[in-house]
Amino acid sequence: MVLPLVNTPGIRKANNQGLVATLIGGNDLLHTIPVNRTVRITKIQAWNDTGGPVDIQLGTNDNGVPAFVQLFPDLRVLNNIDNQWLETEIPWVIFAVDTRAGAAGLTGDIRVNTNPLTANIDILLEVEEYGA
Amino acid sequence: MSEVANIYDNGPISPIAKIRENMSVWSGGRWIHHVVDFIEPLPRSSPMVVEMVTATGNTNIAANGLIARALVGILLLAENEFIHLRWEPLDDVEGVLWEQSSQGRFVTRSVQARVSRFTHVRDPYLATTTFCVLGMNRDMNLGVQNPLPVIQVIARFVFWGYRYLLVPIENNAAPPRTVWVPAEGKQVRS
Repeated sequence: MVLPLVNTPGIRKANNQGLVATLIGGNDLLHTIPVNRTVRITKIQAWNDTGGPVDIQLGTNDNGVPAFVQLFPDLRVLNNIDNQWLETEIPWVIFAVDTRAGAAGLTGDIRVNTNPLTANIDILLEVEEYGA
Repeated sequence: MSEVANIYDNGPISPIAKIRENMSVWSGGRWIHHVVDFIEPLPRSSPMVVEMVTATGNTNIAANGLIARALVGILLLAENEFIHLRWEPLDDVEGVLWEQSSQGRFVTRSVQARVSRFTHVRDPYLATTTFCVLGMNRDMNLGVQNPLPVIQVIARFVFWGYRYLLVPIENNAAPPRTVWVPAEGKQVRS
């Protein structure tokens, strides 16, 4: 029997950190990436009740070496509205382990900054991991 | 379509011998010849799930850590009972198969492969996870590796397949027609 190959042969899951409430300092960790895998974001959900719109910046920081690098354009999270971005709206940005990560512990990560920096923006991701 | 499969056939798991046929099992370092007396399925179901964190008395698996191989209670057998199973993790962990606690399975000289959530991606019927166990006190052991850089508190594995009852052939005489099945590992002959 020949089965059709899966186009995106990965596993889907929620981000490792689960529901994350941002902190005022920014650079909040959303997902850590094992060394054998690469990751793309397939869904973003965000909740904001700070009273005004807040932009979130998704990127990677790899344990601080280098500093936070933004990989998506700012996403505007509107106040008191269900904010979500589905797979068809999210570019296929691949997050991988930084090859310089040896000293930092062989992990990659997905992190978020808010603009303006603010606490209590709730964020949850669905990710697809490839590899082994 | 044949009524029995070869042991690693890439399709849904099927019996590898019929009742009253012969089955020769590699166990204890030799081939032991039997007649199949009974076959029944072991469907994938909740009793066939083992959670290895609590089963081994732990509270979690450390980031990139492991749980040392341990007996899987639901797969303990009586003498002349034989199971032919496939398996996969229900959580994002990797299973490491051992037969009789000290003999690695799915090994070569340089690597021991594991079963993970990715195994089904290119092997939808999980044929590459197939293993067998024969009889009492020749049990499989399961180790668990955490591939994630975060602590995990749960590591579940599910098994399914077939159970056979075997009758040893007198004097272990090799029958003219038989199915040859490994129930433990085998090393390269020096």
